[in-house]
Amino acid sequence: MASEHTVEAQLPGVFYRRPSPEADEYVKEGDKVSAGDTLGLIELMKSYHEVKADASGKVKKFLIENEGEVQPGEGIAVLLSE
Amino acid sequence: MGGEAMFEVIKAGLETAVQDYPGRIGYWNQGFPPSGPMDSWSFRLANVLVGNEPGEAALECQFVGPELRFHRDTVVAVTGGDMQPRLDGEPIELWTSVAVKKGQTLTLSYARTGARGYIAIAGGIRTEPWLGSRSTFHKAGVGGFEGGALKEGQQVPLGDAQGTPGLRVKDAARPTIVTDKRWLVEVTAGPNDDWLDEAGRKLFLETDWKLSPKSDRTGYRLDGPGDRITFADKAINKRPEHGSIPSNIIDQGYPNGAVNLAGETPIILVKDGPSMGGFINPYTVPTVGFWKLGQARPGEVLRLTEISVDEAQKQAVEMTRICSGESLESA
Amino acid sequence: MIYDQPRFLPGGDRYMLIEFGDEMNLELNFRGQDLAGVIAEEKTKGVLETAPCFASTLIHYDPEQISFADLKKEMGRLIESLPPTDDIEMPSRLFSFPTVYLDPWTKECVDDYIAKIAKKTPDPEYIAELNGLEDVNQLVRVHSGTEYWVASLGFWPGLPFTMPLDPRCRLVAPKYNPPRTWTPKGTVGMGGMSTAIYPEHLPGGYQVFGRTPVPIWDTERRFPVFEDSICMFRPGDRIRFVPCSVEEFEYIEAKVADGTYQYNLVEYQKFSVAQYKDWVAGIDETQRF
Repeated sequence: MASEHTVEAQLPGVFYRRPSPEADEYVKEGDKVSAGDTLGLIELMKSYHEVKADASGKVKKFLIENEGEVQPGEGIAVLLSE
Repeated sequence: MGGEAMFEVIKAGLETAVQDYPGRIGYWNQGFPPSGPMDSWSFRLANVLVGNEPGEAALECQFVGPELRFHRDTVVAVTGGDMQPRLDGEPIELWTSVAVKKGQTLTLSYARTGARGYIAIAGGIRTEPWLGSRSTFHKAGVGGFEGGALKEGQQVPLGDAQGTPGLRVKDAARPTIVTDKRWLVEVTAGPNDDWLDEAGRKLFLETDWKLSPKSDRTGYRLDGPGDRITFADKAINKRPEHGSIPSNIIDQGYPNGAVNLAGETPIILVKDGPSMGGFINPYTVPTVGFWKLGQARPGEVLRLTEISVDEAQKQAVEMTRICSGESLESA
Repeated sequence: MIYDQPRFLPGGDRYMLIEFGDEMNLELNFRGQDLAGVIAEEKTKGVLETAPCFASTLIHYDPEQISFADLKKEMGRLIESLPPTDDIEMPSRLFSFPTVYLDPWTKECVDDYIAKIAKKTPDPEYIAELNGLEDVNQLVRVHSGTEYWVASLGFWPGLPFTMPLDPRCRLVAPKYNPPRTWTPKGTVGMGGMSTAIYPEHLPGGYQVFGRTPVPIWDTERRFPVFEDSICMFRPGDRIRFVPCSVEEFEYIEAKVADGTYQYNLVEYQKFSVAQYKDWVAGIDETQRF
C-alpha cells in the first residue's frame, strides 16, 4: 500500500525549486525520487542550501511554491512511497 | 575523570563557531569587527550555567546545530533558540547544566524556535586567541578554531574546570523568543537621524520591516519601503564629496548595531559588520535590542521602537545583572 | 564647513560619533586622527576603541565606566588641547601600486551588477560624465595623477580610505544604490571624493574602474610590509596608482603568489602640512590633467 511522507524544511528562508532562474526545476510533481535527491534550495544567510529527499517515492505535490517563504518544520513536499 | 581535554566535531552544523564576549575589541580603527555572539544574553547565561565567566569562549550554532563527541567528563549547557539538544539520543533540557561522560555525543538539530543556540562547556574552549579574542570572524578567515567555523573531524581544546550539573536559569531571567514572527527591536536615534525629515523618521519606526534571507553575521537586510524614506534638506543640498544620493555621507565610523541606510535599503550592521562607510546611520540598535537580532529568522517582521540613550544604558546594566549567578536555581 | 564646535552624536548605548565638519580636507582628518591619538596616549577612562575617519571620530565606550555626558565633556577638553594642524610635520610612507585601469575584472563585476541587480551607466563612463571629463582616458590620467592620503582604515580589515592630495585630481561619485554583492579582490574604486582598494572579494558601494595585483592585507604575513600588522597601511601613508597593462598585472600576480614580489614603498619623506597648504594655495584646481 502506498504511504505518504512529508519532507520538512530544517531551515527558514526562501525556497527555490530551480538551481537558477533559467534552469529547469530539480523535480516536478509526479517524478520519482530517491532518498538523497535534491528537491530544491533554501536561501539563508546569503547562501543556498539543498533540500534533499529523506525517503524514496513519487512526488505527490509541493507544499511550498517556488520563491515561497518557509520556516523550519514546515512541509516542503509530499512523497508517495510504494 | 579525564582523558584528553577536547571535543571532536562529528557534524559541524551551519557555520557553528567559537565566540567569546564582548569579542575582539580594540581594532575597530583597522577595520576588525568585534565578532562574538549575536545573542549575548543567551550566550552569557550558557557560560554562567557551567560555572564559567559570562564572556568565556563557547559555541554559537546557527539554524542547524552540530554533533560533538566529548573526550572527557564535563558539564555543558545549551541555551538560546530550541535546537532540540540530545545527549546520546536522549533529549536534554535547555537552560540547564548537564553532566556529560567521556565518549558521549551531544547533538543539536534545527532551530525549532529562534535562530541561534549556544553551547557552553565547563572550563571554556581553549583555542589560541587572535588579536586578544577567541571570537571567529569567519568571512575573513581569522580567529576561532583554525580561522573559521567548525569543520568535521576537528578536535577542539577545552579548559580544565569542574561545573555543577543540575542548575537551571530561572524562567524570568530567560530572553523571550517570539513565536508570532514579530519582533519589537529597541533603537536609539542617531548618529545621523537629522538626515531624515520627520516623515522619514516616522516611516522608519512605523514600518513592519521584513528580515531578508540575504542577511548574515555581517548585516541584516530589511525588506520594505526603503525607497519611500524621505530626507532633511541637509541630505539633499550638501557638498559633493558626500556623494550625490541622499543617504550618502562622507565616510565615517559605524557603530556596531547601526541601522545603515545603504542607498535605499536599511541594513543593520551586526557582529561581523563593517567599521566604516559612506552611508548614513539614522538609528542604532543598543545592547538591549541586539540579542533579538540573533534570534530573528528571515521572513520575520522587525519593528523598530525608539528609546533614549539613557534608557538603553539602564537596560544594558539590567541585562548584565541578569547574566550572572543570581539567575540560577536548582533544577 | 569646519564646525566651530564639534558635534557629539550618540549611537546606541556604547558609541559616540564626534563630527568635526562636513567636508573632506586634511585639517579635519588630522583632527580625527589626533583625537584618537591623544585618547590612546592618555588611556581615557571608559574608552574601549576609536575609529577616526575623514571628518569624524567614532568612540566606543563603556557606559558603566563613563556616562555620555561626562565623555562629551572629556572629549571637548581633549579636542581643545589638540595642537594646531599647521605645525604638523610627520613621516609619511609612499606606496606605488601598479594598477590596471579600465580592467576586464571590474568590468565583469559591473556588467554582472547591471544584469542582475540594477541598470546603470558603467562606472568609468559615469564618473567621467559626472565630473565633466572628455572621456574615460582622461579619468585614468586624472585619477593616477596624484598621491592619495590614507585618512583611515575601515569597512574591512586593512581597507584604506584615501583622499587625493592634488586638487586638480579631485573627482566625485555617488555610492552604489543598492550596494554590490561582490567586488574583485584588489579593486580600486571611489565614492564621494574618497578612493579605496578592496583587500578581498567583498560586497561594496564604490564606483569601480581599476585593479591592483598587490595584496594590502595578509593573514599569513608573507611579506616584510606585514611585519607589524596584517594590515599594511597606517593613516598618514600616501599611495600612488601607477597605470599598468594586464600582462604586467599577471606578471606581478605570479610574483606575489611565489613570494618574490618586492613592495614598492619609500620611507625617507616627511609630510609638512604648512608646506602642503602653501603649495595648494598656488594651484589652479580647475586645470585638469
